[in-house]
Amino acid sequence: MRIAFSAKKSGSELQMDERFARADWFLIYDTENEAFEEIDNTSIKNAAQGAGIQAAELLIRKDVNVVVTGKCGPKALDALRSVDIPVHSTNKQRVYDALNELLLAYGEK
Amino acid sequence: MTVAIASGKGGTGKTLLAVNLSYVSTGELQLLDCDVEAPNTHLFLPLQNKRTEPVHRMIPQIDASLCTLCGECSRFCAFHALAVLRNKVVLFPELCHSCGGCNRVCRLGAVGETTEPIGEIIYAETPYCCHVQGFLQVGTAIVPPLIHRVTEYIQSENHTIIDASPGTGCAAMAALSPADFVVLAAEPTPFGLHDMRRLVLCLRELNKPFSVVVNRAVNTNDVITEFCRNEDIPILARIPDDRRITDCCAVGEITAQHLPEYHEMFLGIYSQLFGGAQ
Repeated sequence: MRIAFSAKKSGSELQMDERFARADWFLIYDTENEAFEEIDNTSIKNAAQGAGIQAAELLIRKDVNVVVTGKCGPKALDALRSVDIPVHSTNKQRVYDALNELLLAYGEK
Repeated sequence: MTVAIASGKGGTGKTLLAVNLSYVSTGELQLLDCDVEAPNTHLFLPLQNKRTEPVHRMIPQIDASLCTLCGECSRFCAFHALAVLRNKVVLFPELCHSCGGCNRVCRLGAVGETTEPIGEIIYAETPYCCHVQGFLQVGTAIVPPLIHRVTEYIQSENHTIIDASPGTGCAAMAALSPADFVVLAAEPTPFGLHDMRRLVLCLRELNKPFSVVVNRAVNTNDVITEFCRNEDIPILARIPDDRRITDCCAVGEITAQHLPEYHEMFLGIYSQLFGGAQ
């Protein structure tokens, strides 16, 4: 399972960014090899419009199965749902906490 | 001659001006209400012989049997209205600006065109002017195609007044683009000045000649007058801060008709814009 998190980098901690498409980074955690892939989202987050759709397109290209974020806009949500990718909203601050929360919810931990 | 009445901020008296100028015009005048998100000139005018025209706009339609998911249409779209999502191309119509580019760039002919309704135009006669008014359908995000259709009613041999949308967005620009001259309705408050300055920048960019009508004017040293003096912008008229004008608007009455002392003021504005009574 590949899980995408909207994230920002502050210090050494991996922090969640509550915004979906306007986040600095996407971190994709792969449960197969238990590793994170980092994707720079700078160009999409600075788009004047359509950022949500572009971010959804990007994550779909990256074969993501689940998205974890704070708030996801309606168009990004439509795009992700149209290919059956569930979007989970979290209020966790750290990516590791959000990951643990999700793995627990999916019964993988 | 086409004159658009515009404002940076809403509620500064565009419709008051548009309706009263229409009332004092004695000749052939057309009033186009291009504030299609909140049209309101009909509240002041007795409309006769109404005709309704539905308005549609073009949007792409993908033929999945021809599409190879190459993504050419999605990359071309400046507004990201088309997205290639795994095994299909998805259209987000609220982002589509109907440019037709996706149709042109698709080499396989998989992007066809269809239409969707965006609103209607009501054409009517009044004792003072012909009246054309656009009504945007609730939920429609893309406004300019409807405004363009309203402004197609302009007949160059006649005088036309456009009641534009407030602000400096696409809707306001669409309503101002066919104008030969623009009148800025401005309110002498800090907020009124702030928003008027933005519109002044746009009008200069568009090379549109314009002048200002100060509405709810109390005296001649307000912020709008000072700004116009410094920027060399002519002030066409000052409409006094008279509670009775507000009362007229609130009940849908034409000020120049119900408060005869203002008839001359509106006629003066009309003459300055269109060059004397017809």
